[in-house]
Amino acid sequence: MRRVLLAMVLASASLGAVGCSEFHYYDIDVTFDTSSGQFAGINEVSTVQVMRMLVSGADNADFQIGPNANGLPLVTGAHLGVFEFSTFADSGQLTFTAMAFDDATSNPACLTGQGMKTVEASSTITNTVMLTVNKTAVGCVP
Amino acid sequence: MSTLAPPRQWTLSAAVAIALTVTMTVISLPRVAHADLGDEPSSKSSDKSQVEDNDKPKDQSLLEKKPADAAVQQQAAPSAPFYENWKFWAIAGVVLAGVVALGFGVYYTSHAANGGDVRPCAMDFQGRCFGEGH
Repeated sequence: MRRVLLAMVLASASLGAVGCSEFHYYDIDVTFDTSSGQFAGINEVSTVQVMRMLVSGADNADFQIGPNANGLPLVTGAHLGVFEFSTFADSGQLTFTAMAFDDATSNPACLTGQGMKTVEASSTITNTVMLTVNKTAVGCVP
Repeated sequence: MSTLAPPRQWTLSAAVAIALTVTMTVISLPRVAHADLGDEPSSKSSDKSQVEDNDKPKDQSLLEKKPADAAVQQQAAPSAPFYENWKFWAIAGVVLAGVVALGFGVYYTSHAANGGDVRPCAMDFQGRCFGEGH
């Protein structure tokens, strides 16, 4: 009987040692800056065909949307919408960098806009992050 | 003129002799069948007429079966195959169910420890869901 109890205690301890992971979601709400000196309204925002999002810090990722998918290119307004990033990280910092390209590839020469946001990772399940993409270069579309 | 002896004529005496032979044979058959090797001799006649068996022990406890004799007899008896024993199938079923339950338990515990299922991507995100679980 003692051996059975000891085995159960060891099994519980080993499960506890494994630890539990929990998903945390970062909803990055992306908007193009159309203020003065930035993107010239929908005419210029609609030239963005590809966006690349880099995540660094407590977690790392590199993903891309478009062309002609995931809401790109925009046809109205300057609000792209939400990128949702799921991670197990619940401490440290997470830096999100959005890059906009006015080309069907993520050719660096066609990088026309960029935005960055750093947030503290926490145990909160869903975290909303507002990120604005600013005009940074002419890009490939004259 | 033939030199061969003439065929014997069957007489009444020959017929009687054959009939007696058949009758004696038929009558004696049941007695031979009764005189089987397994028949027990009658106790009354043997006790009185036969010479006393000096090898037969007087102590009746020596003639009784010992536990060892029963064990040897049990071992000598043909045993049924293990798969015809219901206990074998009961134990096998319990072991199999335990293994399956353990497998599911380990899987679900591991899955839960790794965060479980990621939440589905919202429709208005238009497939822009990335990271762990995607």
